Amino acid sequence: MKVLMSIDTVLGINRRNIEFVMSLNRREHFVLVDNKIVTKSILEKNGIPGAKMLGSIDSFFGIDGLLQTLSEHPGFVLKPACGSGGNGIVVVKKHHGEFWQLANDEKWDKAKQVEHIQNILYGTFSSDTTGDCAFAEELIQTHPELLKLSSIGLPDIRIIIHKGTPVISMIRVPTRMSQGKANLHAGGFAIAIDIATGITGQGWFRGKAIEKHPEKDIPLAGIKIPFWKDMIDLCPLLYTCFPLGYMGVDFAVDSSHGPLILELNARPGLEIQNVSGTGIRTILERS
Amino acid sequence: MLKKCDWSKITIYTCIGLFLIIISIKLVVLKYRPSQVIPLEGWIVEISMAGTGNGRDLSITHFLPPTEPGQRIEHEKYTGDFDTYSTDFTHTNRIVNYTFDQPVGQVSASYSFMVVPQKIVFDLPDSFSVSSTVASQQEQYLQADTLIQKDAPEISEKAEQLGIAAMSNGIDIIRAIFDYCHSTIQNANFSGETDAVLACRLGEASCNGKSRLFVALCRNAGIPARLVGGLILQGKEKRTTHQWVEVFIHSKWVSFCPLNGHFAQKPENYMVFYRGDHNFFRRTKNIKFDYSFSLSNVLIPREDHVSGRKFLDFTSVWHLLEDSGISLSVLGAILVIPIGALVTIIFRNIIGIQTFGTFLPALIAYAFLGTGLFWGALIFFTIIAGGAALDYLVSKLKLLHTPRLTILMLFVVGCLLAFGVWGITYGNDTITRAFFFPLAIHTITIERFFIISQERGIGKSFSVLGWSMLAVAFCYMVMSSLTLQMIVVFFPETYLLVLAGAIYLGRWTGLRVSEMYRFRSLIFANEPDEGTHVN
Repeated sequence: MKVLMSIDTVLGINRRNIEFVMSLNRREHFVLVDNKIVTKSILEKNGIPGAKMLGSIDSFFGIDGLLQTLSEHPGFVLKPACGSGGNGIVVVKKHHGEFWQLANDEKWDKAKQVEHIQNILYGTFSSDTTGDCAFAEELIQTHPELLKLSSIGLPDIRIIIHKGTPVISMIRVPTRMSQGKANLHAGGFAIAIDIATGITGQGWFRGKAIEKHPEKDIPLAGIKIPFWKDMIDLCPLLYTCFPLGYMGVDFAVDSSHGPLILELNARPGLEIQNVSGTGIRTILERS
Repeated sequence: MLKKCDWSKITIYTCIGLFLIIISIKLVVLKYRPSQVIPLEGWIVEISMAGTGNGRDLSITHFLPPTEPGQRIEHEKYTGDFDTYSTDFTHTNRIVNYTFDQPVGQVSASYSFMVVPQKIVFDLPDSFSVSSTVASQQEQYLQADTLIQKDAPEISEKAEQLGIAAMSNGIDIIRAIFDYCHSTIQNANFSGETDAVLACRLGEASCNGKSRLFVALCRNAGIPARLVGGLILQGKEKRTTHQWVEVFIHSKWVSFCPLNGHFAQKPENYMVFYRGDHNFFRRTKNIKFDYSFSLSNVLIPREDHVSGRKFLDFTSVWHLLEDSGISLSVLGAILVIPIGALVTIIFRNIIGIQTFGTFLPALIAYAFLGTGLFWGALIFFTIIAGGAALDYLVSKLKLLHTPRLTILMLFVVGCLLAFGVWGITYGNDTITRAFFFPLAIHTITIERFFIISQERGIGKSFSVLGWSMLAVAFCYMVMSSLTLQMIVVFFPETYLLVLAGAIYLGRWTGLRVSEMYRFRSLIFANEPDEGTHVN
C-alpha cells in the first residue's frame, strides 16, 4: 500500500514560477538566455566557453550566404535563436554535395534546407511569433567518456543554479529511439549526477527509474562526468553574467575543448527531481 | 498555500470587502430583492411547416397558445408563402388557418411567439364529494367519445378494481386514478393514437394513451376531466407535442400529467396550446406535409413585467446597455466569459491539465452557447481533426508558415459554411448556428494541434485536444447557467469576486493534481514493514 511520504519536498510548477522564476528572475533578463545568440555573445565577452558560432542570419536575404558559409564546414548544428525544447534544431554530420546528412541519417536537399531556415526565421519554433534568427554552431565531438553512453546525438549535462549555487544535476542522453535527441519526452533518458562528486546515480527513462542503459547492456551508476569541477566552478560566474537567481545551464563536453555551454534556461523543467529521486524544494529553501 | 504577499492579500480582501459593501447597499439601502431582479426565463418557439400542394388549394390549421394564468404569449408572428392567414376561436381554443391558392412546389409557413411560462401548484381541498349533477358547462367533460370510452366494460372493471366505487372523497378517487395511470401503466413511446381502452389493455402507453385513460376513469367516476395539448419547453428541436389532463375540482381546472408524474401542478416548462382531444394540425388531405418545433431560451428583463419601480442602480450592466439593442441573453453570455476563464485557470493551475491556449476553452465554450455542448463539440472536433489532416497534406507542399495558416482558415470557413447550409437544408437550426463559430479559434487550434503532433506525436495532440474539450465542457456548464449570467449582469460587483479568485489562484503555490501523479515516486512510498524506518 502506498503511503504519503512528504509532499513538501517536491517543487511544483506553481511554486517554481511564483517563488523562484518570478521572484528571482527579472523579466528583462529573460532575453539574455532565451535568445541563444545574445547568450553566446555574453559568454564570449566573459571568456566562458561555448560552442563556436559559425554564422547567423535574421532575414531571408541571408539564407544563401549562410548556406555558403556552412558548406565550408564538414558538420554543424543549425538552431533557432529563440527556440525551446530542442525544436527546430538540426544536426548535420556531413555534406554530400549539396545534400546535408543529418544525425538521424536523413538527407536534406537544398529546397528542404531553405524551407527549414525560412521556418526558423518565421518564428515557427520560437514563442516569438514576430520572427526569429537562425544560427549555426560548430559540431561538438562528444567526450569519449560520454560516448560510451551514446553514439548518436549529443549528451548534455543540466545543472540547476540557485543564486549562483549548483543544487541539482542530471545528464540527458540521446538514444536511437529519440533519433539523437536528448529530450526525455522525445525518447532520451537521463541519469542523476551527484553535485558534490560528479558521479552518476540512477537513471530515468519513460517515467521509471532504471539502472541499465535502455539500449545497451551497461550500468548507469558510477560514471564520473569529465571536467565536473570546471562546470561547478563556472556556476557563480554564470550567475554574475546572467543575473537570474533560478536558472538551468546545459553543458556539453567536447573531446578537445572540454565543457562548453549550449544554452541557459530561465524556466528549467522539474523532471530533474524524478531523475534524481529527490524533490528540490527543501534544497532550494535551505540554500 | 497562499504565499504571504501583502499586496495580493490586501487586494483580495479589498475586493471581497467592496463586494460585500455594494451588495449590502443594494439589499439594505436600495431594498433590492434578487427575486425581483433575476429575469424571467422565456422561450421563443417557432413552428415551421412545409407542404407540397401539387396544384391544388392547400390549407393548414393549427392551434395557437392562449395567454392565461401560467403562461403569457407575446410577439406572435406569422410568416411564409401563404396567400392568407386568419385566426379564430373554436370553443375554448384559438386557431390559425393558412391558405395557399393552388401552390406549385413546396410552400411553407411559420408561426413564432415568445412564451413566459410559470409553474402553477394547485391548492387542493382535503376532500370533495363527487356530485351527481354538474353545471352545464362541464357536462361535455363527462361524456364518452370515440377515444375516451368511459363507459366501456374494461374501464368500468378497472374502476372497480381500483375501488373507486367505495371511495367517497373525490381527492382519493383522483389519487387512485393518477397512481394507476402513472405507475401501473408503463411509459411507452407509441406513435399514432392510443385510446383509453387500448392503453388499459396493453398496460403501457405514451402520453396520449395515458391521458385518455385518466380522463376516461375520471368521467366514469363522475368527475369532469379533459385533455390538454401542449408542448414541453425543453431542448432545441422537437417534433412531438405533449398531452396531459385537467380535472374539474371545486370550480377550477387542475392539471395532472400521468406520464411524467405531475400531480395537481403545471410545471414551468409545460405550455398549453389547446384543450380537448384534437390533433395539433389539420390540413388538406393527401399532401406531403412536414413540420418541426424549434425552441430557444431567452431571458426577459423583469422591468417589463414589474410595474412601477425600475431598478436604477449604477451597477446594473443591463441598465447601461438596454437601449443599445443588445439582447439580455447575448449580454449575459458575454459577461460570463471571465468566469469561464476562471474555470480554465482551475483546470490548468490546480488540476494541471494542458489545454490548447490559455483561454481558448472559455472562448470555445462561449461559441457552444449557440449550438449546445453536444453539437458544438461534434462540429468543433470534426473541424479540428479535418483541419489537422489537411495540415499534414499541406505540409508536403513545403509552404511558408503564414500561407499555410491561410489555407487552414479557408478550410475552416468552408466547414462552417457547409454546416450552415446543411442546417438550413435539413431544418436543423442548431447546426446552422455553427456558422457563427469564431473562425480564429478554430484556425489557431488546428495549428497548435498540428505543431504538437509534429513535436510530440499525434497521440499527444489528441490527448491535449481531449483534455481541452473536458475543460470546455466544464466551462460550458458554468457559462450556460442563465442564473449565473443574470447574476453577473445585474450584480456586476460579482466581478470583484472573480478578480479576488484570479489573484488567489495566481498566487497559489500548491502542487497540481497532475503533479501528484507525475512525482508519485517522490511523494508516495510503500508502507514500511514493522521495524523498518522510512526517511
